[in-house]
Amino acid sequence: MKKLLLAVAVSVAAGSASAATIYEGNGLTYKLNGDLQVQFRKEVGNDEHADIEFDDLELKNYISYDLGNDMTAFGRVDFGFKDAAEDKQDGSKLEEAYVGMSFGHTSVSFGKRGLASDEFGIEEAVELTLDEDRFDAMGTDGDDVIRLDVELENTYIVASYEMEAEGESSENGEYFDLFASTDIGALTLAAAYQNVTESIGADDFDTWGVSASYDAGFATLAADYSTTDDIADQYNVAAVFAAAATTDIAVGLVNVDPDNGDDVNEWYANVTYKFPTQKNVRLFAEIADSDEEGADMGYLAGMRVKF
Amino acid sequence: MRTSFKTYKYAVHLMKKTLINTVLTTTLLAATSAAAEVVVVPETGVEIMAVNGVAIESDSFFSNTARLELENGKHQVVVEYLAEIEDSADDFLLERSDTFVLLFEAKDVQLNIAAPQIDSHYDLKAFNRDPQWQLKTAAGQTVAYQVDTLEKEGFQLGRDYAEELQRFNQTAAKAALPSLTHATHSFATEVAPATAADIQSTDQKMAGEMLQFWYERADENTRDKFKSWIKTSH
Repeated sequence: MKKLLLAVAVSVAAGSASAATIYEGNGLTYKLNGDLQVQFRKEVGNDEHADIEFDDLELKNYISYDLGNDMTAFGRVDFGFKDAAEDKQDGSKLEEAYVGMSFGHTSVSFGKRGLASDEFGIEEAVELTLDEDRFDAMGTDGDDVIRLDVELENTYIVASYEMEAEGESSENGEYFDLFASTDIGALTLAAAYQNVTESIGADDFDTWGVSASYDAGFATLAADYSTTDDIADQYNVAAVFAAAATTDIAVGLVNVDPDNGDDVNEWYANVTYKFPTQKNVRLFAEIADSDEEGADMGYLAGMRVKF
Repeated sequence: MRTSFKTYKYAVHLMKKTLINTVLTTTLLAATSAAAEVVVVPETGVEIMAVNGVAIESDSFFSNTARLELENGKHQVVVEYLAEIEDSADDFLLERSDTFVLLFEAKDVQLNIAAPQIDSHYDLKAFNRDPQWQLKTAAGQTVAYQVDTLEKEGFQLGRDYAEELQRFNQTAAKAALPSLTHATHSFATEVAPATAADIQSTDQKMAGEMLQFWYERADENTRDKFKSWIKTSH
């Protein structure tokens, strides 16, 4: 599911130095992407204090070989440093590491990476204290993943299987995920399914989700609903408005309704400014609040730089 | 040999002023022209890397009106598209299209350069295979163009577009503009000597600036030929 992207009309000046492709020759392509997001934040909640947070500090390496006949071999290794920046761990964290082959618009990959259900969701918050959707709550990445992606002109289909790897060092849950989305004019519809067994011998859970987003011109409006049997239901509604050529305003509401306990609402409103000459530099600010007992309003402001 | 667009425009400006009075600029007129009459505006995500063989640079970090002012006639621009490609539900990657050379002819118009919406790997792949650039006037009329990919093997950082275009324009590519390739002047061409009246009516300060400006931009070979011409002719 494509996140709500209301493209701000940025006129990009010439000569922007954001080239991600480092090397290209003899069928070999090496790309390096970076993502740095640092923000001043006070979380929504009880007795929270402001600090400088690192949401993303990532370096993403992508390499591919053109094998001819529309066939490509590829590999990706992503390192994240945000926990290291906040003194939660030393060094870097391996976030993704996989290899695969693509045949036209179909690819098969395996390794450590996101699951099919990672594509689901429409929420537009910079940060949330609640999970983004039920798939996010149950888990959307794995380290023994086999994944199939089919990307067509108006349709995107993903299937993934995370092996339980019993007895191996990577032993954890078993996940089977499906995701499909389609564009019909200005309307995008998506659906996802996940079956998860969180540990060997444990009960399995089914999660379903559907979403829709509509580009109404003046704004993009979207909603999603997801449910996990015997655990919780959740919905998101969000809207993104282009306040100016370089500025987007987003508002949204998240509701989580657990099978046991009271439901919780969290709302947010944020503004994002993209520099006219550099699409990859953004300033943002957000306020958010929750009806959870004792929770105080939260806020954040920060900057994101990508290349 | 990277020359900023500002420098290029300054050179054109100097020549325009001198045009009125000097035989020298009468010769140079063939290579340049009069006031800017074609305005080229890149739309969302479109980046113009070079124009008419000269790499260009942004003149303001905060400016959102990146635009080129060109003379009427045939022009060649190098463009790329910077796309936001979905990487997951809540993240995206910045990906560049291939580098393309567009050749078009325009007169007295504002010309907007746009690309179709590209937000998936599918879209980007399709665009690189069949680049559907949209060149339209402010009134919405489509302007015909020729397009080719400007390929560079090896490291992609710090590409020298001026040098790449120099080679590209010597090929038979559809979007090549051979007139931009550097020709050398032999100084053998007979030029009618200026009369005393010509010299008197010429802005000598401007003439000096012109001589100095172009001498600084001439390569060693051209300078040597110029010096020889001075020695033998004057």
